[in-house]
Amino acid sequence: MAPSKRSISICFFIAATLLLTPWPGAAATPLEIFYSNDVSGQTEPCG
Amino acid sequence: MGGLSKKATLLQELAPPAAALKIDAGTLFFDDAFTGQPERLAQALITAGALVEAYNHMGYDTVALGHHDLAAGEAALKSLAAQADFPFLSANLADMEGSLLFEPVAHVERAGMRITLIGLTGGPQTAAFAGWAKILPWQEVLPPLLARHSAASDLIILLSNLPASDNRAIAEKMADIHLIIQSGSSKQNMRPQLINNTLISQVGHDGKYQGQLTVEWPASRRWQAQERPILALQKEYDRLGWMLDKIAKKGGAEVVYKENKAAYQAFQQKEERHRQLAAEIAKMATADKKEHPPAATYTNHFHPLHPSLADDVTISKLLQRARKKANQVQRAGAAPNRDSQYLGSRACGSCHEAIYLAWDKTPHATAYQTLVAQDQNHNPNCVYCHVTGLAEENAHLGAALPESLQGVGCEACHGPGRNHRATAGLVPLPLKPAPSLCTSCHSAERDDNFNYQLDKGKVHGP
Repeated sequence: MAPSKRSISICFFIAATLLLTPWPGAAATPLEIFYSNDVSGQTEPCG
Repeated sequence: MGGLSKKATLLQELAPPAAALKIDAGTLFFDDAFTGQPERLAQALITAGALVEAYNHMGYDTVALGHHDLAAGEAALKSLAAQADFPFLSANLADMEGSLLFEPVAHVERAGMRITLIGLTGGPQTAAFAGWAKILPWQEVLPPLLARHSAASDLIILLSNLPASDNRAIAEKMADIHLIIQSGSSKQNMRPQLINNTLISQVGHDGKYQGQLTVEWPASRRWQAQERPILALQKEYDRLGWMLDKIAKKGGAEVVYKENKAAYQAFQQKEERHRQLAAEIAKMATADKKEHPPAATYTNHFHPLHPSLADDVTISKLLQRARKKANQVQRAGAAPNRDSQYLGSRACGSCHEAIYLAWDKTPHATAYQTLVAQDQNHNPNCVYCHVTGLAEENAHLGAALPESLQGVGCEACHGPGRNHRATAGLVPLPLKPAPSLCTSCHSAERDDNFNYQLDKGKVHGP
């Protein structure tokens, strides 16, 4: 029936628009944060 | 497991230079005060200098200062800062007049973002600390810093040496701080926790793991999506669409409601509402995109610095140089310890020969030699677990031990034997030491594979 097909098309259109359009200001590449909480002067395992 | 040379290899493998931020939450250099221990201070400064050199080589962006880092004094810490290619951060470490001693913030650009890093030192607030510094309360220092830097920053990261409860309070009050890297006393890694709009994460403090957070940070600057009115309309639209489709599959409304005029009219109203919703959603979509951008996403990994990782050659060499230098300092400053109640295992063997000979074949007997091989035999952080008759608090005296006490001998478990021998055994020694004596050295962070029940039998030989 015509309305259902149309509804599906519109639904897909909205979903695709929302999902695929890049958001303004979004970072192009993810930020990689390397973090540590190191060891009070200890540089290497004891042995 | 662990070590800077392996950390350097891992970072080189994992970190894409343009998008990587390398930060340390603090308490990097020292752990205790050095009052009355000049050799130990000299040794710690050599090691701290090597740490700075290693962090320079690894391209660290910043290191926050913990209150333990003040242990060597202001001049020493400033001298280390001058050697560093990265800033030491503390927004609340002030001199006795209240002026900040180090930079409170650092700004870097990575992955197309302006990132502001803030350091906070933990410790006794407002009270004079170490005679030359005081710690200002975070409630006083953070609000003006955020007011100054929030607008121009895409992401604000706090490197905090404060207790976990304070970090939670900061997260609850200050949504502009997006990430707290916590430097706590916990040896355990702490998975990221989201409080309000702040993610808090901590890698265990024993240097066995490297934390990595991969962050997709959108313009919303939020970890969680806000409520979006468009979603309610979409839900209704989808529900109605499903109902209309069901009728269509049965041959259409004219067929299904042939005998029921009221139901047919209701169906037409639903069709109309469905059309209206489609139009409304289309109209709202642009504004929704602008006002409700998606939330940030992250993944977190704690990478073990596993022994199988290759050692970075440059770091290995510079650490080896530092260890040799530090060893020389301790050796030069060592005074012989003449009052020991400990005799050494050979003396025990004069009566308990079979046990002595069996022990002599165990790793305990050569524990000190493993340190010698690594140039760590005068490292106070190591030596007390590789010798006999030295408590942790006297670890700096390790260089003074006679050869007979180098290694984990009989008296390490059974206690000093001088009286026992002098009385021909009349003063008994404990036969079975408490498990805690073993685990004080074979702790989880030092010995991954230790199992008290399985391993206790190996002490007297295979």
